Amino acid sequence: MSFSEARSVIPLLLLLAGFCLSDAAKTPAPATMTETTSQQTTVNISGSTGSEYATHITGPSKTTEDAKELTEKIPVLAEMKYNITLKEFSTEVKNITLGQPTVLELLCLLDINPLPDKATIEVTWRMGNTTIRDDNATKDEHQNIWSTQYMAEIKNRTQLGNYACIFKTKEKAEGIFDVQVPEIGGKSKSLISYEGDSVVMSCDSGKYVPLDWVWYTMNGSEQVFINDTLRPEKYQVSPKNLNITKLKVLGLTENDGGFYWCEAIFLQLGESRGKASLKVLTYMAPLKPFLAIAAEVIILVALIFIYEIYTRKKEPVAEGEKEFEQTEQLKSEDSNGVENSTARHRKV
Amino acid sequence: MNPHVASSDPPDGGWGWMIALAAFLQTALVFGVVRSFGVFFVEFVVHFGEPSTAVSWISSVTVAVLMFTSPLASALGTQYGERPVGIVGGFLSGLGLFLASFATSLAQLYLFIGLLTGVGGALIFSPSLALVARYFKRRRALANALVFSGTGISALAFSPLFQFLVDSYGWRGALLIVSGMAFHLVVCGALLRPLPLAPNDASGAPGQESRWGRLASLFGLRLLRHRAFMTFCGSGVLITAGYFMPFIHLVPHARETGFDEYQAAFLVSVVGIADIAGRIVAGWLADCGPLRLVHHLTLWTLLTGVTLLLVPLGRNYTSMVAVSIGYGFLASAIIPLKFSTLVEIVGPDQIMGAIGLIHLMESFGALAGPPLSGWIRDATGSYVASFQAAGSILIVGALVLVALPNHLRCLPAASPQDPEDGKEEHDPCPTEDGGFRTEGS
Repeated sequence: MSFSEARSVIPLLLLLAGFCLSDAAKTPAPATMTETTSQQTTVNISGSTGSEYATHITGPSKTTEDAKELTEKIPVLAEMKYNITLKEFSTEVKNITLGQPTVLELLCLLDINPLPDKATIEVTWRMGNTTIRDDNATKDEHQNIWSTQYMAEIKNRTQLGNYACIFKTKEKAEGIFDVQVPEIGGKSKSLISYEGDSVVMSCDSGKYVPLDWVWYTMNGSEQVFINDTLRPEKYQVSPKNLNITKLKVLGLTENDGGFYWCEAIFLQLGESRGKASLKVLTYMAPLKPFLAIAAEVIILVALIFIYEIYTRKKEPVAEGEKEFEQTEQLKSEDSNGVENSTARHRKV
Repeated sequence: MNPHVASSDPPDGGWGWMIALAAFLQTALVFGVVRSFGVFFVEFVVHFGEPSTAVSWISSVTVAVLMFTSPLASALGTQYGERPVGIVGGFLSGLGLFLASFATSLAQLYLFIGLLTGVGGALIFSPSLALVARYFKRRRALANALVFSGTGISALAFSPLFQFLVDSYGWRGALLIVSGMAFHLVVCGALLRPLPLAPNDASGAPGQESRWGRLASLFGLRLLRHRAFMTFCGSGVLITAGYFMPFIHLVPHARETGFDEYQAAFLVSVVGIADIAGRIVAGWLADCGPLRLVHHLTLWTLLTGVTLLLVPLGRNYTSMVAVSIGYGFLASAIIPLKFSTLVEIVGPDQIMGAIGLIHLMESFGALAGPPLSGWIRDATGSYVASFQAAGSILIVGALVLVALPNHLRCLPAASPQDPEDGKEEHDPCPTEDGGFRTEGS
């Protein structure tokens, strides 16, 4: 018996050992955000993306020195390359997720067979519905592969979207790069909590660290910003500068149920939203099944005892001759009260 | 038919099956709940903001308390009878979970679930198993096997059930309802109709012993001088240490070999199902086979050890599944057979004390096993070595069993056509000090 539940202990004990040994997960990114209520804000982020940059946001600078300092900090953009390989007639889509302004090198390769009789293949690059470039594809010397390349600088939210390379062959071949901000992982199930209790909702942005998180709740059909500095006894938001955010709602009432939105604001690229939903129950909800079960238990126990007393009452005649050894039994086995003080029957 | 003898004959049926049912429910509710607690852990981590290591201690504390208070439970059961102790135990278990649903801190969870439910579990566990031992003789192994299959079945059923409860009522409501389920342990306790022992089996004349002597016999301390029992304990510690190491490491090993989460989780389910099947088959075999129980136990333990040594051969998924099935099937038999053998060794009168003591000793094996295997894994860099270590420990444990007195003597054994008057036990083993006792008159 020790085993079977020891079995369940062991995973936990081993987890314990494992966690003690690998204490990695707790180091937050060394992000410092100093925000002053006056005009100037400076943000320094050195995140896991490996790129460092400082960006100034708004505000007239107070001194010329500040202005110089600001203009000297040039954003160093991350660079990423993506390829799509196409065959004729095909359309391929590649999803690109960006957490910060990036320079994208987009490469489309067309593998065509047999050789076309033309010397060149025309290629159109499109962003959304507008054409951004008309070009000729270059053929690789040794193989039947035609390639075209486009450098896209994604610096603000208007530059997000679908970048498509379209090869103008007999049957079109199209490659689509879908450039978006990261999707926020929320919970698909409702969180359930009780009146007077507290609940924690969290959102996760994966590998990408946003600038800030904002929480909203729905009031009817309107979106209401959750201000935790205004009502700290009710809402607590922490932390704000990692890829996870947690909203703790205290002192729940039934009105607090509904949808909550967590919005991650990414540097210059816009926002992305995740959803969480909350249900607030009263204690009556689980209490009813519990009382039903408790009543069932009491009834069962009563039945068992009644059955026992009933069957025992039927046996005093048959057990008469066993009285002698009864007393011996009682001496050797401490009586536990009513149950076996009288007849001890042997079930056949 | 001598009524004197007949009254002490284990019924091997009748109300005994109700006792078996009670014990089955008890293992299901106590250990099944502990095993399926993972669902709640996730919720606790989120709600209390504590790291998972702190939360996982809840389960460890529960099990540790259960094992350490086993001797106490045995003593109380011997003193006051199985039924009252069982009912109190059931009530405490349910109460612990009930109070836990109102908890506002992790410490309270340790207290309510760990302490209350743990003690309650111990109080219902020892008496119910002892009674099963007393109610059955010929079919004891099968009865034990059925009883212990409760854990496996409930672990399979409770996990999805708990998840559903948490999804519908949140963790507080779910705990409330689970405590209602746990209160059924009181029903189990109520079913424990005691079976007085035969005068021969009774433990001495209590009136003449001193208070310390009485206490010692309550706790079964005299068993410490029982050579067979101590040997059995020794093997028990080894077997416990090696027994579940593979179980925990199965999933990480599978992941490291390159399988994904669902495949690894499937392996666990496979082990669980093979577990249930193995217990019942082993119990049934043991009762109707010609070998003695202890031979069965040795055999199954050896086979399990050998299977574990074969784990490194599991390179692709099919062979891993095969090894898992083998391990689940073989290893599952060990627990019920252990208890059946234990009864054979110490006799039904001392079984309660024996359960308490052996639990206490095995808890050291249980607590030493995981760190040891984790250390082996860290030292060698893979889980293969820890599987092999577990296999070797099991084999050594089986060999220790061979060292039991009269192990190799007294060949077969229980003839199914036992005379109904319940005279000498079937194996003509001479009773010597530390040897096997003859049961019955």
